[in-house]
Amino acid sequence: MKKPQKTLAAALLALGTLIGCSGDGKGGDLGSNILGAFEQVGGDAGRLVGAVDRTYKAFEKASEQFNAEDEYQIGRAAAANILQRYPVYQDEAANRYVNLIGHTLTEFSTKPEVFAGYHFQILDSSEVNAFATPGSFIFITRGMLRCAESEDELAAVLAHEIAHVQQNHALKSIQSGRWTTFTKTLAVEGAKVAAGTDAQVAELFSNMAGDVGKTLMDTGYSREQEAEADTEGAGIMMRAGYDPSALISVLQKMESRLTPGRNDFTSTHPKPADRIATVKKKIGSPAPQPASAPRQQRFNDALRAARAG
Amino acid sequence: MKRNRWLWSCALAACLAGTAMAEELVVQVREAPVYEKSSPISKVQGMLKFGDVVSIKESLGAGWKRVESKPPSTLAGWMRTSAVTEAAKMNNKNTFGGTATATKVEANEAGDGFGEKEYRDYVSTAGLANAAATLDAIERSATTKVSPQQVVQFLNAGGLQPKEGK
Repeated sequence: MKKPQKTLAAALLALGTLIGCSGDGKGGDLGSNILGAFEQVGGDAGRLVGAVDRTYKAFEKASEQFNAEDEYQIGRAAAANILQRYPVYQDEAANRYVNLIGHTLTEFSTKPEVFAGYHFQILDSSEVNAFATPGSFIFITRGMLRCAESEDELAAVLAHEIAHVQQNHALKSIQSGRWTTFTKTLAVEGAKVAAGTDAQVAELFSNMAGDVGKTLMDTGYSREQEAEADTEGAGIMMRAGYDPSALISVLQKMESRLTPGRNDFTSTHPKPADRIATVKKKIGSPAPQPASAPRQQRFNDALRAARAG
Repeated sequence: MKRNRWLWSCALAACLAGTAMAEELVVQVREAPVYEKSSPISKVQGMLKFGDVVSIKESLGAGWKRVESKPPSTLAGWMRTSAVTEAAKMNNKNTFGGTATATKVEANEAGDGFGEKEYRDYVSTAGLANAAATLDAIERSATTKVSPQQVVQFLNAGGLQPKEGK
């Protein structure tokens, strides 16, 4: 590698690392994308410049062309798809309680405000699963509620889902070609040049919602995104005052409740044992805090019926 | 003396330019609380609505901005960064009429984006009408609305001590 290229590569790597450590969700993604691009081109600075440029442009499109309302409408469509497959659990007190925990956690996330606010809903299913759509509806099944034995463990599951929203993971699952179409037909620059027809817009919306729905219910996020959601989720819990060790204990309980071959979170998530190992690498093994009597009491009161059966 | 006068003129011009160029952002969520301090558990001064314009006075890390709302709202305090955006990024066919007529021109120069129409068309053509009705009910339901004050009560009742702010 020639000296100017080395200098450039070093500067870009430094920039990537710096942005990656910024603590800003977007910056973190950009930083890791730049570092990822460097790895992909085998350290070749010339190719790195092109790769970084493409990565940066893709990132810009993915994160900045979409505004809060776009995100909400796509997430809402994905949520409708989820409700087509899973019935809601009609227990006002239980849903209220889950919403209180969820809203408390979102206040300590880096994305506390979304277009129409966060909504948390229990699904009447024995599958062990939870989903978060962009924008943001968060669903948790009764099967998952049965894995959690305390408010802190339930908070760990919800914080993980909130972290997916915070890190825009679902939006990143939209195929890259769709972003180009979005830019051309609907976003800021495109609208001035050539507004899309209703049919084009409808098709694009349907395709984007389909990408998100498929990721949420069928294919799942990447292992890296799941690890990031665990780590960020633990951070949200800690900032809110919950016990981060509850993430590890609830993962252990999820592991023990798995039914091989069943359509549940194992089809869309890494194995709990692997997640525990990754979480421990990231946050260590925090000592469990003493159980909180008021939190355990309200957990038992609100979810007794929902967790039964 | 002449030099001093020149320096003072420059300083005054810089101040005026700074005032004129103060960053303005638009509320991009249906409603957003304005807090007394940069903490989610501080007192809520009031709520701003989608489309309201705020003048940014100070930024604190990536998460908070000290703002003053533009008329007709008259609120000052701290908002979450995720609640506001540049006017140029707002959709021009959104279905939520805000109070910010000052930004309508800018908003009209922005793209169309996705709105209520796209969602409604999608659920009807995909045969999701019943699921969408359930979703609407969830969204409208009073049980799912949790105010910042209720969050503080919930934290206190559960003995939770946040690590951030006071």
